Amino acid sequence: MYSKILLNPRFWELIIDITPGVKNVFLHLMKVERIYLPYIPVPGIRQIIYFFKNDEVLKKAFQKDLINPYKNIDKLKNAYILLNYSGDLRALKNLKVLPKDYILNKAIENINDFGLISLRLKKYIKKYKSYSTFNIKKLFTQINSLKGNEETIKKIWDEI
Amino acid sequence: MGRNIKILVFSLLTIFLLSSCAILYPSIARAKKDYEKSLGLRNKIKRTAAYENILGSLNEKINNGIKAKDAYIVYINSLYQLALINPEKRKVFYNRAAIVSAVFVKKFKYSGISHYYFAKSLYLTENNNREIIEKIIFHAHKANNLFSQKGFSLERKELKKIIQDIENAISN
Repeated sequence: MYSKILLNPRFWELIIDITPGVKNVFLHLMKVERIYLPYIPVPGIRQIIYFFKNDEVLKKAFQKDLINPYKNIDKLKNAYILLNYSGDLRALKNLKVLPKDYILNKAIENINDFGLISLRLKKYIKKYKSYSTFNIKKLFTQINSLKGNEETIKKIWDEI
Repeated sequence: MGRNIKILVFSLLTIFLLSSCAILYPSIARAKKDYEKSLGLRNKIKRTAAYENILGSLNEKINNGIKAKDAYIVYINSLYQLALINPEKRKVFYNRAAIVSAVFVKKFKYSGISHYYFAKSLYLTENNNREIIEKIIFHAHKANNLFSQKGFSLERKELKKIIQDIENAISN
């Protein structure tokens, strides 16, 4: 649907500093299961471990794996990529180690970030005019409807 | 007559440029393509072999200090991937990545990406030597200054976290 945008690595920079949760919901709306690695830097082992140890909820959720992180690095790496670069809400919802509705709560907590995304997206589309305006308009409408609207986010989450 | 000489000079120049590119770049382009293909491989042995091949094909060029950013980027990323596949040997790979990125910085002094790879590789070596920590902070700040305001937000975000982790470690 948005394949032309997805091929541009600069596109990913628009959403990279957006909080997890909001980012995952946005990628879900874009129908992006996972941002491929050539567009994102390869995470180092120390960075992955720091990511999990630095967040109290994640530290608790992955405490067993963090006892010997080098042995469990595959699992931690996959979870790291899933949390940071994935729109696969079904996989995130079924990630048993995470507290129930972790992603949904994160998205609601940072609900204003949807407005930020739509602003950036608008500027981006203006710059790269060749993208199909119909699809983008649809995406704008979806994102704007999520701005400050907990119910719609909950609805998306429940539908999965 | 004058026009013919101009055409001849331009043709010779074009042939020279094309031939020099053909000598320099196919192996780097191939390595880049191989790297992207390797990301789709699920089998660890196949992935290891793919990264080893990439390293092998670029080794000589890197050792000779080639002036091509892509060569360094693909080489260092292949080392990072190998470290993820063999975490018990991570220090070997990250140390090699640090050495290669030091050459990268030397060759591209004013490129943010070279300083980014140097800071990141040094950080990943898990060396807590004061001198190394100072180097990481210096190159991370240098990379941040050299990156243009618009791009590289992924890399800038990573560097921010690296500095945060180091500062936490120092304060503890």
